[in-house]
Amino acid sequence: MILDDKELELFARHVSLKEIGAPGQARLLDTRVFVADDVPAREALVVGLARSGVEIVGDEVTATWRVEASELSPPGVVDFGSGQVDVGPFDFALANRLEASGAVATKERWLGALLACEIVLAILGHRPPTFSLVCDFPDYRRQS
Amino acid sequence: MSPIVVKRELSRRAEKPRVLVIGAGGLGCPIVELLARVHVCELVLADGDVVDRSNLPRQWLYGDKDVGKAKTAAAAARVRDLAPGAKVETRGVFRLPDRLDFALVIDGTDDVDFKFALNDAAIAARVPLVSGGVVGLVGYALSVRPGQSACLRCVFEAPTDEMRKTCRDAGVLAPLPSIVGSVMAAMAARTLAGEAPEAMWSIDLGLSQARPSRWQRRDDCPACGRPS
Repeated sequence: MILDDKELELFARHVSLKEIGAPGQARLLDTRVFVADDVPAREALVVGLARSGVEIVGDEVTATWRVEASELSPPGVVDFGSGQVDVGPFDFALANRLEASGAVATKERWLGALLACEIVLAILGHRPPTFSLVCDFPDYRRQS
Repeated sequence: MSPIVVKRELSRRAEKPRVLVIGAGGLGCPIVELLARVHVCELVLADGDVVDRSNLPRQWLYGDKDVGKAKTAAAAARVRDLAPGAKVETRGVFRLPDRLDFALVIDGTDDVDFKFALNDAAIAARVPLVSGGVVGLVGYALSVRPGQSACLRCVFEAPTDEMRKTCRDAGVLAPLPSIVGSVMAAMAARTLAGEAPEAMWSIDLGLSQARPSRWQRRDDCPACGRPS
């Protein structure tokens, strides 16, 4: 797949990023991701993936990657597998105690954008086949 | 750092503090949106650019219909949709204000020389500053409380050629500015709430790591150091 002029203009900052480049952006544009409804921070995650050029699809059958909520992971841990992402039950207890909805929005925006970055890098092969993220706003680390 | 805790009395206060946000790009978009949603301040958004198609992957307030429009006008219109009642004043210029008559200044620019000039001006005017930057896969957010915490020059000393690399030169991963902008919005809200956020936070997506770091004010800092 070769990027056309409009795609080169739209994704100029990805094309000039050495970890992506034109071949990587073409790969992102050729990727279809299904994000389950109950995934935490879903709205920001979907926006982050879509704005990166990934196609968001509504069915699991045509998807090349799936992002699903997982009951298995401990809170704050996100497990990544090859071609699949299991998002653990992120701990929003602190956010739920806050009185202003914007506080929750800040944490959700952070988590959704962070997951979008990690998934993009995983699609491009910059992550090991399986890894976990330990997330605690605003810090996180990867465990392989 | 905990998520932003916005005290009820702050969001209900009749006269809200005025906050200047310079830059309506990848950092400015989430900062303005998130602060508008919590209704803790009146926002003044300054930027002289128009929306370019290459901005759209990172600058989530804008869509195809905004290409060619002034960023400040497009951002303010979108924020008013997302946060009805939010007060957003716009300034279509990208320069250091003559007077920093604000409760807080937020630097969302990608011009490192401007960042240092704004840091010096905020220190001189004793106005708290939240500064941030992204390039490639890395970013930082810094909370400066003049006379109390480290400033940009205490941490980075002076602009270098390496620091002058911008997203235009080196590229940037599209969702990264939203991560850093969210942290900057949290730092800003905590500052307005009278709290003292951690001074410095940095992220490296290449390493999958983010961490806070402590910096002391330098006595010999040319901006905030004590006169000998």
